[in-house]
Amino acid sequence: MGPADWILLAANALAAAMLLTAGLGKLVSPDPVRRALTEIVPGTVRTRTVVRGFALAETLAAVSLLVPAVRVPAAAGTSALGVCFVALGLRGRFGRSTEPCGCFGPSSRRPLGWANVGVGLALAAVYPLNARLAPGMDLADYQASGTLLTAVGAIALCLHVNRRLIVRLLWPTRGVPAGNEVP
Amino acid sequence: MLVVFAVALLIVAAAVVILFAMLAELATRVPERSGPARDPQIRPLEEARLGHAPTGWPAGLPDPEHAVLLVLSTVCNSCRDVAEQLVVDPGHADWTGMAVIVSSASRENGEEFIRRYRLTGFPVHIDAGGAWLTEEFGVHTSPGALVFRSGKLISAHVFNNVSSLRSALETVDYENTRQEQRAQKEAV
Amino acid sequence: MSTQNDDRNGSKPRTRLKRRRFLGGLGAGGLAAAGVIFGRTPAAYATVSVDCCNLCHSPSISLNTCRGYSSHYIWECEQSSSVYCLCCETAASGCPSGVKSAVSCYLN
Repeated sequence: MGPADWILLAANALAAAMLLTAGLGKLVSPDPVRRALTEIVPGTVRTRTVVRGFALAETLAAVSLLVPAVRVPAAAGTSALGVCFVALGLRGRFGRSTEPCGCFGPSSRRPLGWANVGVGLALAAVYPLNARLAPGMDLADYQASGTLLTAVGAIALCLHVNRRLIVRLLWPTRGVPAGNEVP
Repeated sequence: MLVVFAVALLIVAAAVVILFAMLAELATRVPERSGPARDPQIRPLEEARLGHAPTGWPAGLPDPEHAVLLVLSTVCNSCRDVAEQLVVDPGHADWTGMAVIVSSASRENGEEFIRRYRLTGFPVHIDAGGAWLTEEFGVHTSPGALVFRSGKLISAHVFNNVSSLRSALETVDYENTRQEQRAQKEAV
Repeated sequence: MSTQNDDRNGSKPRTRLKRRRFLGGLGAGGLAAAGVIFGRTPAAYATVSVDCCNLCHSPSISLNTCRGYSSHYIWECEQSSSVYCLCCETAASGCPSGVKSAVSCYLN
């Protein structure tokens, strides 16, 4: 198993983790995304159903990337999603969007901008990579390894995205009595 | 076998992501504890140099002949609520002669504050380091309101409720106008 | 998961060890890559509420120490009708990890 296999597996697992986290977050809470999209492209996204449909597409692409039989078509779908993110990120950045995008769920407070462009570019590179490379390992190994990595990546990303919520829950704000200074 | 374990772990991971998304959704419905509640009381800002005519006046601010500057700071908790009151709840876009001064450690922090709390619809000036406010008026407290008439600072207040502040200032203006009219009548 | 030359346990011990190291390396690499992609410049916005102050980090130094920093920023807020707090931060811009904060409240 050479470096190319490592790269392919890591890239697909990372992309799947991102799409899974983003898709599930939007499925649970589509309103922030709907508001953010309405801000930059008024009148286009009226219902939660549209956002949830998009979220389902993300989730499906994530899971499909891990199935060897549909890896390449899933990679094409992933790249298409990536191009969408780039376009929305640019639109948000130059449209001076201020509405939190909710891209990874309600905890995502950053408005659409360069971060989305970066993520979109990374996802857009998935199809060329998959079209060029094929797993040199046993396909069951690919599926198991990819799924494991995706699971770990999704949990790590979820914790990262929700870090402020975690801090807020674990360390509630405390008061400083009048007249006290921290020594 | 490993595939089954991996899929099971993926399902657990998905459950964790969904759980956190639900928690975050609930959290958005619970207001974060912030500064004092919208106390309607208006208190004098005693440190202010009343009667002072500023030597410099930032471009874009209303004419100091008749202006109210609301002083907010990026390190002040209740300033976030004041910003929200200005923009949406209830919103004071119709307040003529009012501007917002954002005191912050740096211009970048001030710009982030303006962007985050959507103050771009108002005349806004970023006072990096709070230097202008401190040097001209001796002011270093927020949320504050500086009232200018005829180019001079005539009053300064600490407030948390924008509507109460506005009502109080309009009442003072009304009373001052009546007194001027009475004085003119007596002179005649 | 099986290879052509399986032993009784279903795979060669050397293969299992390689796979374990491989997964461990990929996991660490994947997380690092995620950190690079998602790592962002620290938010230029404070996140810690201490009394009426809104700071980058919890207070860790005294007000006098904070004032001693050349690029400090200090401002006052109203905690209640009779209590005011001085909020001090040492950085000039943004909320980088090295920023220190101080809060001192007093009765007016």
